[in-house]
Amino acid sequence: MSHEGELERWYDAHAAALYAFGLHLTRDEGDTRDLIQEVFVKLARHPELLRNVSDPRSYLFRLLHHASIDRFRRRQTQQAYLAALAAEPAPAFAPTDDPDEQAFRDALGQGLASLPSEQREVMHLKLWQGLTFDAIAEILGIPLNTAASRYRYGLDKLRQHLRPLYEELR
Amino acid sequence: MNLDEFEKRLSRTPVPPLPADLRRQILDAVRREQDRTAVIEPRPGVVTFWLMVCKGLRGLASPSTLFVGAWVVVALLASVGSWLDTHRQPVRSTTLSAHPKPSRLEIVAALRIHRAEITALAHQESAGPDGETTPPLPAAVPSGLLQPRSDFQPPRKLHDKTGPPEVA
Repeated sequence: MSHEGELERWYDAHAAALYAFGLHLTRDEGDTRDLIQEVFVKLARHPELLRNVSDPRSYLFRLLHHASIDRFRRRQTQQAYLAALAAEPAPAFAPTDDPDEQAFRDALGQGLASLPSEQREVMHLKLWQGLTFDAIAEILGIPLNTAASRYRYGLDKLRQHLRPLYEELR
Repeated sequence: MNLDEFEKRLSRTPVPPLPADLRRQILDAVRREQDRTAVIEPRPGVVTFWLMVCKGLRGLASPSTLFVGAWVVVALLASVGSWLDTHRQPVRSTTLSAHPKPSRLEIVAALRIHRAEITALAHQESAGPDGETTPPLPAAVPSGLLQPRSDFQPPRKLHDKTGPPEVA
């Protein structure tokens, strides 16, 4: 298979997961699109990176995470940028016609937005990508215990945030 | 609220769908990058060789490999030196090599030129400084200068048995 065909196959298999992860990293659709494009352009520029990749999805997550870190480092006013984004609704979940479910998803999105980005990344990879803590630690470049503790703290905060609505919806 | 139940509830919440136009955007960017790279790709052979060497050196940059590599380089230099000692030409003198031996024809030609020069010089000296012949002696020469004296005796030849007449 040609290099371009292989990249196309990788896109079809993993782009949706990358897009969801990118939204949790950047909380902005435009930035997420740019990051995904950056990742695939890098792979097109260096075809040798595709060789010996045992887990393409984890590898793409890692590239996307590094690209987001580089992007935020380039921005001098990262905190100001994130604060500005926090005021906007983050499209973290798919819309639905069910008003109760939509209310829950909105509250979930707000709760995730209130978390530190480190906890948000771990929670997304664990809950919505179904990865193990080992894989998460490798993708984010952190120790295994750190990944587990970030997840536990984030889940506790989210549960506190969603408890009233969750009880009401049950 | 049960924690496991809460986790399952969260994980069931679907993430937003992938934008339909993103695929075209990404693959177009990939194609552009590949076209751009393909234009740049044919590098000069020397650059490609140097990059291969650099890559190889990076791959071999362990202490033991460097040690073995240093010994290989030393052994190569020693073998080249011994080969040169065996096969080199005998050293010639600098002055001799600067003046190569002339051929026989050159020597004969040089001798002829030299003889011609000597002959010309002799003719020139016999002709005088202005090229004229030596003038004859003047007619009025004192007789005493031309006539031998009365007590003059020619020198005795070594093998002349007769000898000069004895004076009584």
